[in-house]
Amino acid sequence: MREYIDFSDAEVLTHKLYGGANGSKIGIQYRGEEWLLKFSSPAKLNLEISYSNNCISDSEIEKRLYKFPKSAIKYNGFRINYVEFLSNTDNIDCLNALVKINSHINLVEIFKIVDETPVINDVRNTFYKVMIQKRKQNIIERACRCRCQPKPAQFGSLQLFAKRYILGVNLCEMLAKSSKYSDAKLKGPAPF
Amino acid sequence: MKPEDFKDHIEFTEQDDFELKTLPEFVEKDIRAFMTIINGESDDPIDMLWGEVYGSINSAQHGHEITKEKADHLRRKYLLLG
Repeated sequence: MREYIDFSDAEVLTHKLYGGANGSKIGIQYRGEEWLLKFSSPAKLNLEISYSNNCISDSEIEKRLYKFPKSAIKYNGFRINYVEFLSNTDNIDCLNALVKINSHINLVEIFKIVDETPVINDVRNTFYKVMIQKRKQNIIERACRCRCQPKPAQFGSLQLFAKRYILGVNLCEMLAKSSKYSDAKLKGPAPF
Repeated sequence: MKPEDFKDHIEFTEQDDFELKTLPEFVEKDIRAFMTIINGESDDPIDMLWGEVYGSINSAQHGHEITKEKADHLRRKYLLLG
């Protein structure tokens, strides 16, 4: 049977400060030990519901934002990291496409699809919604904001960059196909 | 998805080790990372590495770096698909 502990009378440790997203946190003293209490964030898209739960930790979310997944598109022979590539690329066509796509992403509609998907349980339902929302905010919208602040010094060489990039990728793929063993594997030429 | 769900079903021999060396480096790298989790040598979340292997095999197949037959074999062997 599940037990609930009432922390209402626990001493709040005001010198303990915790950051991070995904709900607020406080430090408390409980039975002679220091504990962290984490509170769920309010449900942003449905203010009517009386509760919400944060079943996913900040670090697990961050791994799934900044480390995984990687794109199927490769650069220098390896699949690119979305955040790293989109936050640093000067490829205007790519960023313009991203802005266009972003304007068509309707989270309410996406969440409706998740809600209407049979079989998945509440934890998985929440996981999908949290990750979709976080990836939109931290990958797509972040890159769109970067697009609004181009780096002037690198702008002039955009066409040259694109040509060298395409040449580099083609050469890389051609050589990769011709060598099969690890000692001959291609690390991939730098585009410059 | 737990490492033990895979451990009993994936046999990794010396020949498999050699086969990995013949694959594109990004596929080899992801499969080896996945195997470290299966063998309990890493506590990275298995669902993420499973997804990486899945994506890498797809990428290599559709980039014409491995054949469909090889891709299907890798999916069966490491991802227990098909």
